[in-house]
Amino acid sequence: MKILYLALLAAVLAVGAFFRLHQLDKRPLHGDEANQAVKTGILYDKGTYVYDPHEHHGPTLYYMAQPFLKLSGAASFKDTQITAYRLVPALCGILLVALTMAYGLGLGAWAGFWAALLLAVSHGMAYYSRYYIQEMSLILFTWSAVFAGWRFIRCPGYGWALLFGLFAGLMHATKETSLPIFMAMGGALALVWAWECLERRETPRRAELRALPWKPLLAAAALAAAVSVTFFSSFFTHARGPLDSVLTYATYLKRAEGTGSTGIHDHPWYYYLSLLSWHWKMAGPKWTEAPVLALALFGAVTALWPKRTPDEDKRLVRFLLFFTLAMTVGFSLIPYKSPWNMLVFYQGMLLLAGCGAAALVRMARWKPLQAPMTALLLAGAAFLANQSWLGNFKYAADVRNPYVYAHTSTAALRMVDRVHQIAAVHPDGNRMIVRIIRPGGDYWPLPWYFRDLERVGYHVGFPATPDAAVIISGPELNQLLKEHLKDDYFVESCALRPGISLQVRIRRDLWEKFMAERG
Amino acid sequence: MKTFWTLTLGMMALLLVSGMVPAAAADDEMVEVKIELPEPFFGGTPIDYWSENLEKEDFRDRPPFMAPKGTELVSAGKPVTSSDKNPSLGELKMLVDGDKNYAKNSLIELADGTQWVQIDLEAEHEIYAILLWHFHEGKRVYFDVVVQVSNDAEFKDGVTTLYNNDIDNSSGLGVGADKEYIENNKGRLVEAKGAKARYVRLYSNGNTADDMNHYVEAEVFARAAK
Repeated sequence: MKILYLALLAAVLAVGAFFRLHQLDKRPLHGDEANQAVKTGILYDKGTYVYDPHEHHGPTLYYMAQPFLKLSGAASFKDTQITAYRLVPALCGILLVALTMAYGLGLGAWAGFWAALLLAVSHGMAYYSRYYIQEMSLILFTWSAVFAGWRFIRCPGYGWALLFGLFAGLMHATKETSLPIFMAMGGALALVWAWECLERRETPRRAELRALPWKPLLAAAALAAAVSVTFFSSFFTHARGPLDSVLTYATYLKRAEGTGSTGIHDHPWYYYLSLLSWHWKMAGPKWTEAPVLALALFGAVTALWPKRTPDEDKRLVRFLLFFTLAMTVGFSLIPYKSPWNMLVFYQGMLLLAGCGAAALVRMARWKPLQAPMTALLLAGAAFLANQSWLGNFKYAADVRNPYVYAHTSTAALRMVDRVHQIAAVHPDGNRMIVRIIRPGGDYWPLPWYFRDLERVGYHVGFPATPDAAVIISGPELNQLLKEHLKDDYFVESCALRPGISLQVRIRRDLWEKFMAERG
Repeated sequence: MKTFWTLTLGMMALLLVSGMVPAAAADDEMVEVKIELPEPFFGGTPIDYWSENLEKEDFRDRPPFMAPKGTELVSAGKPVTSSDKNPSLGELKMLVDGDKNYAKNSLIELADGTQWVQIDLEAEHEIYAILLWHFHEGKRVYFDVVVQVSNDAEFKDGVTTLYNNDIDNSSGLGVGADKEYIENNKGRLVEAKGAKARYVRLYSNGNTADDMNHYVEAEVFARAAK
């Protein structure tokens, strides 16, 4: 039985790895991914990194990518390929599947199995495990910290405490949203304690607090601070970094309110729940994570049952419920929302769903009933896997996909190809002059795609002499360009993102040369 | 007697000719082809696309399409094949099922890249018009729209290109001089001028909203070839 169970876990891990590693370069880069990749490239080329308290989040992602870039054999940033970068979140995603299995030690072996299976095939979790942003590493560090914290409560000692401190430090050094997660963690811990006091019909006693193993806890806090300072100070080369890592919350509090330019990310409180439950904008697949939500709901109910199975730690299950609930409510109440922000609490839902699935099979005590129940759960997982296949490989950059958020359109890749095709017929080749004129600075992810072109100007103002081999601009500059351009141009149009159109002006003689060569 | 027979034969020839002329005239008489348009969609966001080759949107009704008498819809229910054997939405037979509605369930979605659908008219026809609706729930432009007809199911021999708006030959079917256009409920009418063929093939290569290729309906108006 144990061998069968281990074989099943291995199969789940393989499925999870497939969804996270297959065709990792397929989807065009989101503007945020490109931005992170360019910052990583600067660290790779020049060895410098300076924390920016206004944008880009914490430093762990850039440092974690360095070995992958080295292993890829890239001599410099312009030689790097996106797969090397995306391997970082992909491996975090795979490790998260393995960690979820380990949660079986506290939730019950089969709960761990079902949760890991649902996570392995999850559309959203797989999607953002293929996305070069901080989210997947934050989720891995968060749930690793919870696991280490739980183990520490079970067997207090320096080992698990320091591990908790390490992951807590990494959380802080990864993304500013670690703060509300820490708050939810503390709140959930307090609720579990209060619940136990209620169950025992006792009032909380000071003696219990005094009996806490304070020394290992202080060591954990010290290690967390040391890890955070190490990263934010760029390994002790940028003294202001750690201070900025605290001051940054002034910026992020404003952002959370949805003020200023970030107002476009304002969404109603039910945004995350509606993304998970039902999404069907226009002709195309209907998307839902309803099987997970239903199982998580059932798991939440069972978490409050006093009767438990022998391999289930009731404190862990309850903590899971309160922590997930606190994060769901907290993140839903913050006006600023993006789909990847929900994944940290969606992982909690997946763990609860594992508890729910295991409880369902357990409830069907009569063995002939357990088989159809298991088959039904497997059918639900197959449905989610099919959805994940469509979302990650067929509709990876399609607006109909619920996780495609302000994403670079595939049409932008045609434009990128076109610029390279024109460079190929230009006498200067990759030294051909390209002007990207975007007064608002909205040109990402083009710096990534044009990293091999040596003379690309990114103009946030209108240049005095705008003529160039290729000019890329928005339609709002048409009149101004018409007045200032001296050469004749062939014009093509493409969407950078849905609703953001760019026009590509190709000098007429180059266009004709390109067409003559193409035949 | 010779004069009698000459007159008689002459009269008969005259009568025959006079009888035949109206028959031939009736055969080539141009009549309006009745085209049923689906309900228009009002909504969606304005299209954010422009190109030198984009046709200006025309909101007027299309003038009546005239074709020789006997021209009728011949594609309904005919076999359909495609470069994408397994559409991700809908079934290939929906291309000729008469449902031209913009609703989400009327659509066939083919994979990305250059893809084609092909209608087998099951016999050679004189084709006068081909109407196609890619999508009309909102505004879109489909790229590299190419319409070809042939008697060869493989489209290797005797291929006539009736429409091609692939200005940079990115689909590899030759540079086309036709215009790109914004989809609407009127569809695109491609005149075939009596081209004789059994098969009709429609190409496209993604659109302004995504990389996929879509069809709501295609109609072929023709009459049996003589």
